[in-house]
Amino acid sequence: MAYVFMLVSFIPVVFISVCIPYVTRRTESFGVSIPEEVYHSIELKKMRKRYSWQTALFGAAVMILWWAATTMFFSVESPVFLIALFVFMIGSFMIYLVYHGRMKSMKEKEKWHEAVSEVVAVDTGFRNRKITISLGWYAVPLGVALATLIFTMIFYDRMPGRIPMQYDFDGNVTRWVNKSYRTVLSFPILQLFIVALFLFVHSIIAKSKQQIDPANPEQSARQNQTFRQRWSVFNFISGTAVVLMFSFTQLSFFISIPANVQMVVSLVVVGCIIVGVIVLSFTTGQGGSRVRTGQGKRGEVINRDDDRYWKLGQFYFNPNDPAIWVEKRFGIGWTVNFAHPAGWGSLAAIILIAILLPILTSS
Amino acid sequence: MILQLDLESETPIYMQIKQQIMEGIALRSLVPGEPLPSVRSLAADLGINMHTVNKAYKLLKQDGYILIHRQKGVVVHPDGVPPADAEFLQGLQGDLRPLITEAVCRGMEKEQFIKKCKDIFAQFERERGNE
Repeated sequence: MAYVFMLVSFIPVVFISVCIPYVTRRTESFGVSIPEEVYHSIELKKMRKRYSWQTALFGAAVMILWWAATTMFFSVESPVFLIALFVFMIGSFMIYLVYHGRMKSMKEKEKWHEAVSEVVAVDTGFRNRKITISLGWYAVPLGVALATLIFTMIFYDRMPGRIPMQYDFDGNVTRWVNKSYRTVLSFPILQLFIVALFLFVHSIIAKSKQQIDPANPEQSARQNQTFRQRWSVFNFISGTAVVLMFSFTQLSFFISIPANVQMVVSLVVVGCIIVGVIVLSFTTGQGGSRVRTGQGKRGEVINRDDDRYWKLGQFYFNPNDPAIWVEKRFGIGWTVNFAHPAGWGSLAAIILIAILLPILTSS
Repeated sequence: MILQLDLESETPIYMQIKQQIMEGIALRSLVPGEPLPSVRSLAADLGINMHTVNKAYKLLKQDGYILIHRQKGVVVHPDGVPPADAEFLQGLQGDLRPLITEAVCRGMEKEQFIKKCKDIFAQFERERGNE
């Protein structure tokens, strides 16, 4: 069971890394901005393929090593799994860096950006249109979290004196805690944090920088609108699902629910979210680049070359840009402008709360 | 409407913004009362300093092209752009003078200059018809 669980979490990580070059915008390749025609060249096709194979093989190697290490030397629950994940992430970033370097020197040699004029385009009506679902939808997960909290307070007396806090992968309780308001409220508080977190992501989706391709502004603006709409719907659904999942766990404090049922429920929720991310990434693409719209005109202009602000092609640092959230260059979703403390500060705050929450709520 | 700025151009960015919004209004791709992005969000979308956008908006407001509400934000002037009054005509004369001076210096014919003006007017009428 433990192996299954870990495989389920390892394989998607590897799979998503392998696919990234295929879901970026067509105007970017390994963290380097390029003209769209170049993206479809044979040379770049080969590069993407090679990158994917190398990352896949590396992932497989790490998984085999992890498996060998856990069966021979360590127990399964040891943090070896986390180390393996970490090794994979560092390693795949190294592979990326090699390709990023190659791409950069190729760009220098070919001088793509000299032939055409560089412009930046903005649709003035973009934010007047519907780019995300309404904020009111989040009343649903918030209501569920509050209901769980109130329900727990009302029926506090009916709870047994000891509650299970942690299970191993085979469904046995590994940690019991004595009942107290602090311990029984840990899940409802976690739920409220999750609602806040998903609301935060929602605001990023709504407020992040409008990035449209000046070579094809109307089409690009429509694609970007679809991109945000889909991710905002997905953000709402997955947030609500996670909150419901914790309500279900909380319910197990009151009535006995078999541990394996609980495990199946959480696996299904997490599994569905991962599958959703993959499907959405492939159907929509970064910035909506895979959304099909009518063919537009192109040619005379090219997106502004802002490679100098992208450290290692992935970390955006531009003090002159007031935007805090921008689209990732190599990946799906958004990243922060590291030149603004408000951006990385809010990220740091979230991580801090996520670390402190379990410490504060458990005795 | 789509704003397209050339950040490397010799024309300052605030002038490009002002010019293009004015053209948008002239071509009716921006209609009276239509909301425009706030200073902050336009600056973030363009990746430029907020002062630059502020400058463009201030000039547009001065000339009566847009309104800046404290709550409602920035909108294209709902009553339309003020008509060409005496003051405008005087300003226009002042603006035209250096252009005509240059044309005269370069030996350009009066008819040639007027034809250029007519062409630009015709272009506006054509594009307005297409909208």
